[in-house]
Parts: sequence; structure tokens; C-alpha cells
Amino acid sequence: MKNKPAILYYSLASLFWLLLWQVAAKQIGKELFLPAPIQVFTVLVTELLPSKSFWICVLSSFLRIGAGFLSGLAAGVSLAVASHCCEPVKILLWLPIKVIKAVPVASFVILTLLWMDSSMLAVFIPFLMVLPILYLHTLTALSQTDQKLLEMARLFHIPFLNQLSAIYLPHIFPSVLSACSLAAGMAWKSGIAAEIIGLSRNSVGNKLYQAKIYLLTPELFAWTIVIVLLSIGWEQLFKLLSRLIGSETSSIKRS
Amino acid sequence: MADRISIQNISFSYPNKAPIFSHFSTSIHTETATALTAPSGSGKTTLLHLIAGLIKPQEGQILFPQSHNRISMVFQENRLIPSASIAKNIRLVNKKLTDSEIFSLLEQAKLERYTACKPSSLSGGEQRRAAIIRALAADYDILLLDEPFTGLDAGIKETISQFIHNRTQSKTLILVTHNPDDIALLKCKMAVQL
Repeated sequence: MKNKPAILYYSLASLFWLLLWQVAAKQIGKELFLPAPIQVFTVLVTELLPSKSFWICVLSSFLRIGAGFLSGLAAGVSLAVASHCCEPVKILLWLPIKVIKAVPVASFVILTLLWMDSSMLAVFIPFLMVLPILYLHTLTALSQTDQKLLEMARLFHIPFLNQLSAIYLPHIFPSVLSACSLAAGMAWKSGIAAEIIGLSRNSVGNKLYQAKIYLLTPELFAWTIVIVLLSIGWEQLFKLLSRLIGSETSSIKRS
Repeated sequence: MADRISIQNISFSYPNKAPIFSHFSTSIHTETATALTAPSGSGKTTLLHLIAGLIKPQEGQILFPQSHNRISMVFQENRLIPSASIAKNIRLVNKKLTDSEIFSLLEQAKLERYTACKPSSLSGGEQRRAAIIRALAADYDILLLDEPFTGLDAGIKETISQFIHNRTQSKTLILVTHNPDDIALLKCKMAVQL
């Protein structure tokens, strides 16, 4: 009930931008430069959504970027745990993480094209984008674990696995989920960019590229909307998980 | 030496702080209740942490009688694990306890209805009692109590202190408090002035 006005305001704001887009498209009057939202949604609903190739492309991009995301998540969290437990690992990883964070996606894409098949590009690039985000967030969360609880666990000789499940994981889980939500957007953006440069077969990136070279601007916009929706969908999934975990802890709090 | 915890010539200071102990020595009888008394800020809690092995003295040593060195503690803060239920908080310190043993321990502190609750759903006083029960549930020879009755009202204080007294008959109890009533409640036979 409380969210209803907020939803209304956000819907009105979205409507405002759609109307502005419509007015701008009408003013320009050239579909090639700026198609009207109605044209874009018509292409999306009547041409893209009913076609089998659309779903194959969406699914293969989803699998590729998803695989890159999940491997980046696993590597980021594991390396953060290793760094937290062993200072030399942290020092050793300091430079590569800084480099991965600072190097532009395009440089990685071009370099990677020399080393691996273009179809793997959309896995490897999201992996590289997700890795430092997850690594740094998890490492920060681990370093902020309640030292007094760890001291208590040491005094009572609580086994490490129990410490992990009772103290560390509940503490780092919200940070990891929040990092996942942040990294999801990065993974999609970089993954699609990698598909465009690598011209991966059966991919959203490739379709986007094709739409661009054949000057199919409404299709280009429609594919962009699909990418935005997929990216938002992932982000929302992690936000929902964060909220679920947050509400589980707050519901037991006594006022 | 066999019946004493021997604190020998210890020196300790926190980083960039004035020394708390400088070549301090004392001994504490085992299998008895001892109160450590001193004005606040004079290092009572630090001494408990040194005895517990949570911090190490920069000089000197603390010697325990053989086979009398398992330590349990009620910290100044409750230090209950927020994500674990009260029963799990207790089980984590002693996995040999059965559900009914945990229930009966909690019953002693009038906490039996909170077995499955997380610490945040308990009041401050209830959390304090849960922390005391957890310390008593562990396997220990030496029980360290750091201001254990903070936040407890008089009635429950008496019940809990009687329970602690009964459970620590053949154990070493070291109490840190600024309240003389607590020393009497736990029937401390010795007092060490820092």
C-alpha cells in the first residue's frame, strides 16, 4: 500500500520521457535518426518477439554473459577469502585487481581477440568486469566482520566451518548480493560490447551490429530495449534477494 | 602452584596507549570464586582478556595448573551471534548438549520461550542472561565473568547468581565487577585488588 504512490510517480516520470521521445521523433521526422517509440515497440512486438532467432540470440547471450558473471562471482569471492586469510595473497593480487579495474573494456576485448575464440569473448569480458567488483566488496565485508564475535568464537573453540556459516556468511552475504546487483549491469554492458566487437554468432550483440550496418534504427532501438530489460532483470533479481535477506533480519527485531 | 593461576610479572599496553600493567604479579586460587576489584579503567577487563588468552602480555606469563585450563567467559558485551538462534548460540560452544539440556539451561534463566529466537528479538537483560547461559553451557574449568549482571533486575540477578554458584562448585570463577553486591551474590571467597 505504501509503495503505490511511488509506483505511480515513477510511472508518470517514465511516461513523461516516452512522450518527450515521441515529440522529439516527430520533430526530427526521420526514422533513421530517431524512430518514434511506437515504431520501436511495434518492431519489438511484431518482428522480434515472435521470431525463433530472437529467443535463440537472447538465450545464448544470456548463457554466455551469465557464465562470465557467475565465474567472476565465484573467482571474486574465493580470491577475497584467500586474501582475507593470507596477507601475501592480498598483496599479490593488489596490482592485477587495480589493472583489471582501470583498463578499458575495449582494450581487453581487442587483446583477448588475439588469444581466444570470439565466441568466448562474451564470457571472458563479463568475467573480468565482475571479478574486481566482487573481490573488493567481499574483501571489505570480510575485513569488517565483527572482531568481538571472532574473539568469542576463538575463546569457545568454535570450529572454523561453524564460524563460517554462523558469523562470516551472514555478515558478507548482503554485501555480496549488493555487489552482484552492481556487477550485473556491468556484465551485460561489457558482454554485449564484447559480442559486437567479436561478432559472436547467435548473439544480441551481433543482432545489434547487424541492425546498425543495415540502418534498421527501430530494430537497433528495440534490441537496446531488450538489453536494458535483461540487465534490469538481473539487477532486480539480486536486489530482491538482498531485500528478502534484509527483511528476514529486520522482522525479528524488537522495536 | 598446582592450585593456583599464576600471573607472573606481566606487562601490557595497547598500541600507542599508556601501560596498563607493568611487571604485575598475582595469583588466583583455583576451584574457588575470586573477585577482581579496582577503580574503573585500571585494567580489570584487560586482565580477564589476558587470562583468557585473547591478548598476549608483552612481558611475563600466565601459568595455569595442568588439566585446569579450559576457559569460558561472559564478556562485558553479550557477543551473541546475531544470525543464530539462542539455542544455536549455545550449541555452538558445546555441540555435545542435547536439545532438552539446552532447554533446561534456558529454563533456569527464564528464557525457554526464546529457544528458537534470534538475539535481536530479546531485550537487553534477556540477551545478558542468554550470554551467561552460553558461558555456563561450555566445557570449562575456569569461568571468567566481566560485569555479568549489567542490565539485570534484582530478582533475576539472584536467581542467576544462585544458578552460577551451583554450576561452578568445583570450578574456578573469576569475577570482575564494581558492584560489591555482585561479589556477595556469587559468594566470592577471595578478592584481588589491582
